[in-house]
Amino acid sequence: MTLNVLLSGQLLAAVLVLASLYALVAVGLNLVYGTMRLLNVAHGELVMLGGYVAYWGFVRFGISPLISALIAMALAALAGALIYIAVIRRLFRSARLLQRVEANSLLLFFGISIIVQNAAALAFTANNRGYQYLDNVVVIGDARIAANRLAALAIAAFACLVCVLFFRYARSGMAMRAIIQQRDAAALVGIDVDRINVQVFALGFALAALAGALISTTQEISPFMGFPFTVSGFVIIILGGLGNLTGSIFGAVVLAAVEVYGVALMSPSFRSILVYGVFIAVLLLRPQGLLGRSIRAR
Amino acid sequence: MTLLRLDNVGKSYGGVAALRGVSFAVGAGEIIGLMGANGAGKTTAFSLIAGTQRPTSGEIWFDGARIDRKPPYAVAHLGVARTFQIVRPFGGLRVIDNLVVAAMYGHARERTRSAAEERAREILHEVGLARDLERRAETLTLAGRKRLEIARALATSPRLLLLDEVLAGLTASEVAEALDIIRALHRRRNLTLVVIEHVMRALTQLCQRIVVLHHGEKIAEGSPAEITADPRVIACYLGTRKA
Amino acid sequence: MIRQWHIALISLVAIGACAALPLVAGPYALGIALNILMWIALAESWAMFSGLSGYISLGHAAFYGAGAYVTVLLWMVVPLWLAIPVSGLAAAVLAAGLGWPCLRVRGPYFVILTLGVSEFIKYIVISTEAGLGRNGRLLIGTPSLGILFEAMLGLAVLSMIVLYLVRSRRLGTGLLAIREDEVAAEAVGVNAPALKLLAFVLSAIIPGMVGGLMILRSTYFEPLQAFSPTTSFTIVTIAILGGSDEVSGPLLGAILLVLMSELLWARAPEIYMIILGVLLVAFVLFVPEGIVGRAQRVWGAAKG
Repeated sequence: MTLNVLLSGQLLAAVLVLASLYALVAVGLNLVYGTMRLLNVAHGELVMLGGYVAYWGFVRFGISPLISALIAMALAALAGALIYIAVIRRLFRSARLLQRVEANSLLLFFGISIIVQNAAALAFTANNRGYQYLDNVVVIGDARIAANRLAALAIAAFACLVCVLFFRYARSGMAMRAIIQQRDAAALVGIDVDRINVQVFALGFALAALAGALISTTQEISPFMGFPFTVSGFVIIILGGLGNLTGSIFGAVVLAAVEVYGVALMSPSFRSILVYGVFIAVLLLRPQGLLGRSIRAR
Repeated sequence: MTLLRLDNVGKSYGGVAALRGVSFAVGAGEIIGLMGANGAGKTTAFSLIAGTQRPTSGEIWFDGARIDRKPPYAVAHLGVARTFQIVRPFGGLRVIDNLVVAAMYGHARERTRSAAEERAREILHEVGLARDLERRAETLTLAGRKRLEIARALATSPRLLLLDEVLAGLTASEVAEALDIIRALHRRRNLTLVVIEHVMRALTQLCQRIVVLHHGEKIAEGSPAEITADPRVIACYLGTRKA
Repeated sequence: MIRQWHIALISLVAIGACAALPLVAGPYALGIALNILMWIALAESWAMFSGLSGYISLGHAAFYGAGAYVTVLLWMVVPLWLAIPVSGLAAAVLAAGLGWPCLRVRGPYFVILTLGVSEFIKYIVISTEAGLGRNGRLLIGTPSLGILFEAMLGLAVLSMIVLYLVRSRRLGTGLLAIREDEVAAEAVGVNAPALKLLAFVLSAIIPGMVGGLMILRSTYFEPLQAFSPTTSFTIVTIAILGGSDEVSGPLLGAILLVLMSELLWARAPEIYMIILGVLLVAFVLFVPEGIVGRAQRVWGAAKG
């Protein structure tokens, strides 16, 4: 592997595309975790579903995936709000249930993800599906990049920017950050924590669905594609710091870089080893991420 | 004979010093009080002695052995037992089993379960929890849990017992009762006690000597009479009267 | 009143009856029975660590797979009666190596870490096999179903005995204390790191041997299958379903799960997985102590 190829714009472009998509996934995951301390292991399934919405939109109705992305986001936001109101809120209200669930919340979400994955496999068959959209190649500098990946990068990056601004300047966004920092204090200063929680779920789900729709333009989708994104999402939010939203964006860049350059240096079959390796390393060596609370047993 | 000795002990978190250059000694059989406002460093001192945390400077010696680098269970094996300010019972276990764990793993380990249960029953009787043997610990009232906390610490047959605000939240009559129990335990079991309390009257009634901490530093040490008359102590506790 | 020796007698009779099964049952029924025994052995072993300590391991497939791999590697090199225990030992060594760093991490992070580690090992084995030019390994001349059945029966019985012994002895008491409050447990002298590691290593041995036996049954080793996370999920679901606090819990859970899957597998594996998921969710939410735990609660309340 020549140094030229390594330093090429080609790989850099790949990193940016992957990072922007990862960032969407991670911010959504981190948002839910930061405000409610719930590790949504089924987050990747939202990505998968977003992908399928875009797929069916294009294949059945001829709608551009970029429009379907908006539809997917709306649907996901609605689903998130509903799930919060119908299930999660009830969980928080019952102290007894909460105590049980906190200990087993991971298993709970695992069960849900298994259900969603297999229901999708049942409904859509387990085969990979793909479609052609904007797959003409664009040349920028020494990078040849498919237009769909460029579009995905542009939209995802834009969405991330909007998120950053939202968390900085919008009242709801700042309220979310306040809750992440100090949940009890936030309620004391008059923040309607419950209403913000609904928005958190809606936003978190919508971001994942957006990522899924964009991803569907660049690669094949399958009912089981979600789990690797969940894993990557976890790596990123721990790298960037649990509850640290902008940290997730940096974490996404780091992981994307490790993946792309790692695979370039070794081989595609090492991708999984790399991602899980980073996952384990992060959990064991940097349990507090860059900024965040420790997860050690003491 | 000196049982516990803190030598210039300090603990810092990042830039904040919770304890700074604290030194004092506790002789075998004494009852020492540890006094100070919230944040003065009292519970930190306990955590350092018990091994839950490590001091950033200084040394802690127990019965001739240096304990400041040992993990909590090793310190417990040497004969130090503690209660937690916010009680930590083994909620899902029965009251008696809370003590059985301590009896089977603590300083003077019982070899068999029946011997451990025997010891547990005895102690529970002493602290007045005999009726609640079979109940799950989480069903106890706060007062009950506080007694359980002390009982569990005792079940390790410790030589040094650290009591962290065991009287907090109790009514006046409950306080009097608890003090009687503590004094009886001290006599009967040949214990050495270090007691953190906010209830001034309790400290002055119970302790032979009191160490006063303020913002992480020791500002006074002496008998209850000396402490309550000490101008520095009075200054730090603006208007605290001898109760 | 049911006394201990009643239970012992009934157990002996039941074990004897099971041991005689290969004489009367056809291969299909025997296969189902073998599966039940396999899940019993796996879930009881898992419960000895995760049930008692509260550290939920979602990575026990790693020990199963490791045992399978070692048995395959030792095939024809070493007699089977040696290869299987060595597989168990290999799993224990793996657990010792993994446990030491992993057990420092608490709660939900331990759960996902074990899953991540199991997947990591899976992909490493896949890579290794690919590197060795192996595309799956075939075993020819493996023992008969009857022999494998008896061996699995032995492991299942052993796993239940081990769980019973651990639970009723000092080790179990310490683990339960750790589960309730690890900090408080250490304060009363429980050497949490040592106990956790010991239980973790012990809980890996039988799954390793089970993996070895099952690879002899399927005669074909393929890393994706041997290290499949579905194995881990199923173990956890069985334990949650039946309850992981008593020996009877995983026993009941395994029987229920296998019988249920027999009814549904023929239709579609996805439906089986969905039911698994639904059971997991439902039980975690409403019956976290499992069927046996709930029965005990009801019994205890009825006694008054």
